[in-house]
Amino acid sequence: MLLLACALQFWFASAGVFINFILATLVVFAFYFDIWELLVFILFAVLVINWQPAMSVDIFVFSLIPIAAYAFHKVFAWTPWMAAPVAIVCGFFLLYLAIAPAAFLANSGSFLIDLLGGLIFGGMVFFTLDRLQGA
Amino acid sequence: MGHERISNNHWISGALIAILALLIFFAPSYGWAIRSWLSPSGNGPGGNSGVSAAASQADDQTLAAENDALQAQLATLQVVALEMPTSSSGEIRAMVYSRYPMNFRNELLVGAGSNSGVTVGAPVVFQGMLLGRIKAVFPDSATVQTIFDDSLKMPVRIGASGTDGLLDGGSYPIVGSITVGAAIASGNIVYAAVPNLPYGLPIATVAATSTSADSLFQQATLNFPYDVNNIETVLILK
Repeated sequence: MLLLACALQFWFASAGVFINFILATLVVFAFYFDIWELLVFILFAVLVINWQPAMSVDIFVFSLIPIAAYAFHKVFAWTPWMAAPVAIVCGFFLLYLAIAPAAFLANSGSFLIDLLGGLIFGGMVFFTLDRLQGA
Repeated sequence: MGHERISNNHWISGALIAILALLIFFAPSYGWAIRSWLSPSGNGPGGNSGVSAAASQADDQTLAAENDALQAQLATLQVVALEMPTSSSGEIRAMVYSRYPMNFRNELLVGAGSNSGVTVGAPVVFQGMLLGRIKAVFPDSATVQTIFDDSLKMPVRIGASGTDGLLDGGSYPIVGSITVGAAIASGNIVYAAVPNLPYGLPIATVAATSTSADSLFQQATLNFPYDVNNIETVLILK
């Protein structure tokens, strides 16, 4: 699923449409995997999306959001079907506010497209994992 | 038993974490390779499916003959290529390795760095058009801030009259701060007028003009003869 998210993100980006499928997937993963497995997925995502030799602040912030979602899940113990979309929305807000607050305010349309795409894909990942766990 | 399995899982996860961390910090090119494989322009699955499907249907003898002819051509061209510079002394040709993965910036990583003489601020051109400037330099690579980056601002001139304007980067760059009444028209060339850049590097052509929201200036939308998402090689000017 993470590979699919990576492929989709790069395919959309090549068409000039930026949707954070990878972040949405990692946030949902935070509700289904333990912290060690989640760290493996996060580091794999960082390896794939990091576009330069040095680690950037942007990628660092990106990698912290799924960990924050994991902590949120452990501390508040909401039912995952309610907590996962809340975590995706909060995660996307945090990412935009931390990396490019000015661009976020000036270009809210692209944020909404990003968020909507992330919520839809995150929902698909969530239901797939939910079914696999129930089976 | 269950406890042992969990412990083993943690060992496997720990090992994977260590391997991935090492790759991220010491061999990021593996990540770019995976990314290239997953990207539509990469050499991933399906990238050559049309070619291979056609090849499987082609006559073997014809292919062999074509192969021989192409090998002969290749040998001839290799001799010529050995005698040609890959780029002139004032420029460095570089492959585009990867792109900034989100929508906050428009940056490229190119395969030439300080070892090749690349310096911060150097202009980067594609097909003779100014694409951006070097933002950061690594030993064997460098990041390019393109003119499609939201934070880029650059003084430019327009057309034969040399009307001044300010290029405002972004997904759809515009030239603003153009004096009202200045004679600019669709099709006029927009070129760089920035200190430390070669004067007159072309950037784009004017697509359409309008009056700014505050009615104090004119502004122009731009036409680009390329798609920044499909660029594979660039030239870095020294």
